[in-house]
Amino acid sequence: MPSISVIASPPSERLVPPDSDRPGDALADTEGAWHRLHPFSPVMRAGRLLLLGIVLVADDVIGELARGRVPSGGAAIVAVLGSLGVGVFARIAWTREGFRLVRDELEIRAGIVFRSRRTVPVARIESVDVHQPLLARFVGLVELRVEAASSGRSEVSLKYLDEDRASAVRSELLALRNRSRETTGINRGSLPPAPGHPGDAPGDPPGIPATQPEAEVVARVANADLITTAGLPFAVGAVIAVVGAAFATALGAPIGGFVVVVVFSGLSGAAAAAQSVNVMWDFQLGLDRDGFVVHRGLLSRHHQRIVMGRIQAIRVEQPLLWRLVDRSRIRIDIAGYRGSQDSQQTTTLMPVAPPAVVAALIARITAEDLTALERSLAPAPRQARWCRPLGHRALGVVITRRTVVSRWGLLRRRLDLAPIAKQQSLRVRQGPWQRRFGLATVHLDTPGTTVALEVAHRPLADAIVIVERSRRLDRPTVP
Amino acid sequence: MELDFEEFAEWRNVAPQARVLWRAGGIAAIVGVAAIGAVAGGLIIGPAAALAVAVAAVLCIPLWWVLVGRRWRAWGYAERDDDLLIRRGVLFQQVAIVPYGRMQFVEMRQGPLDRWLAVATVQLHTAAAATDASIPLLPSTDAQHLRDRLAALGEARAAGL
Repeated sequence: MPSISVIASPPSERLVPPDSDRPGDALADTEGAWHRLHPFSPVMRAGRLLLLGIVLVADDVIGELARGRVPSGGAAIVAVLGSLGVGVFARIAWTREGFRLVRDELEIRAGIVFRSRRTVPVARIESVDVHQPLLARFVGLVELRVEAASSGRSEVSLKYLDEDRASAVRSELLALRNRSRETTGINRGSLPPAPGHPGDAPGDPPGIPATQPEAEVVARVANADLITTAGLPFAVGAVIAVVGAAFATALGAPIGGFVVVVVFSGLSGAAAAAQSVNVMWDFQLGLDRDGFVVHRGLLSRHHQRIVMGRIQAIRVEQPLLWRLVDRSRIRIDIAGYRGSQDSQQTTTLMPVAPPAVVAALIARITAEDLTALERSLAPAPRQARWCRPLGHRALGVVITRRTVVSRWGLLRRRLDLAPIAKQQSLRVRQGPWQRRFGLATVHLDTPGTTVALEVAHRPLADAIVIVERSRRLDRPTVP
Repeated sequence: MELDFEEFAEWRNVAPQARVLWRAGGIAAIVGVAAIGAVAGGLIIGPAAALAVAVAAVLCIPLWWVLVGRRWRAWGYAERDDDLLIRRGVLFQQVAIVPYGRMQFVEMRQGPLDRWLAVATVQLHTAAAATDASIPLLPSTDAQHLRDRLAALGEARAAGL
């Protein structure tokens, strides 16, 4: 289990120089010795601050020039002192940071004033994802994010390594993990791998996953689709705004304030839409024996691995306007995967997908036939219209031998699926109003926060059937 | 139709001390609020307001007494072969079902007042944050036995993620 602890490094360590930051050095051969990150990393991490400084100084200089004066020394002095400071800081930080392998644990140290150390048992590593922010792309650096199976903060990251070193470290960590799992059997807790899918695959071959050859590409998102779906609300919003404005003018009402509001909300919406297009650009979903491999991003590239057995629940979501173009998005919950701050992005399996792709992916994950499932969805009983007057027609549920499926949502349609084997607990709830009509709602609790599976407004007998069925099937399959 | 799982399990109630605790707490709150209200009302509006507040408080106390009785009867838990059931609620009723194999850990909590009354709260945790499975105010010995049994069962049937 990764643990965070803040300790001062013992003095003896400074006498032992980190002796390996060359690409060729394998972690296993240099066990116990610290490996350094790329010397440029502290500067990269301070990237935004640095940019701000440059902009401020440049602004000052340009301002002076524009007023026809020779720039004073002030800006230059600030610039020189600033870069000196950054340089010294970077140098110190570089020597104090690093990672090493100690007895099957990956240890990472960071910080100058507040030092921190985190250790991750190699056997617990779920995936090693590659992220490449824009600035890092220019200089050929990447960030490695090590995701470990645990609750709590499960991610440690190595910022930054150059591309060759990163791919070497990545493949070595994965190889070490597999070897360590074989010897310690630490992944006993996981569900058994599907037949024909050996869970302990040998380590990925070297190479940044973008060029990884053996992951078969199963789905791609056309950038046109991405832009269309992001732009739909604007198109509709613009039409409504123009019609509204036309009416108002026809009636002789002043529309100045209205125009300002529309323009500003349009601009802020456009920024959000542009961001969503940016992070999902060139989205590509690969599949190999461990699970999915996601590649995406325009300005910063992201490469993420999703281990198939750790998918806990799936949500197929269709916002109202997406019905016009018949597209949906697929989101998933992954056990123990926090994906730091951008969880909205890391829980997306497909940002935009046509029905055929959705069905194919659902079949891959759950081995269920989506069209057959949708056909056999049992609608909510008539009484449900008193409990949910608008949305009761959208409600539907079906339970197969392996999976619970629930559909809901009047405007934004959702189809939630969860393997029964992944269910943690069930809750049957009934409010006073529901009681009048003999209805109850069943909540099926799965790990993760993306999908909250609930079967709303079923007759009590149905609720009890759902409970008993998933309970009986819930018996562990692992001896 | 009530949310009725009677036929599926043998239900057990939480400790009778819970009623004492909830009633005492509620009455203390009613008296406290009423005292402040009566003083404020008496100073600002007049003695009639103070009297009205006092009467309202006196009426609230038996109501609270009855409500706590119903709430106490609604709380219950049942150990079945494969899972634990916890029911609660009068108006909004809930039955939570937690398979033993899904428990990550069992937690037992006891505050100073709980220790004095010899009661404890047992809470089950699974990998899902939404799991809402705590049994408040069990007799201490029951709570300890339950925790030990659950821990043993959980270990025997652990299924992981």
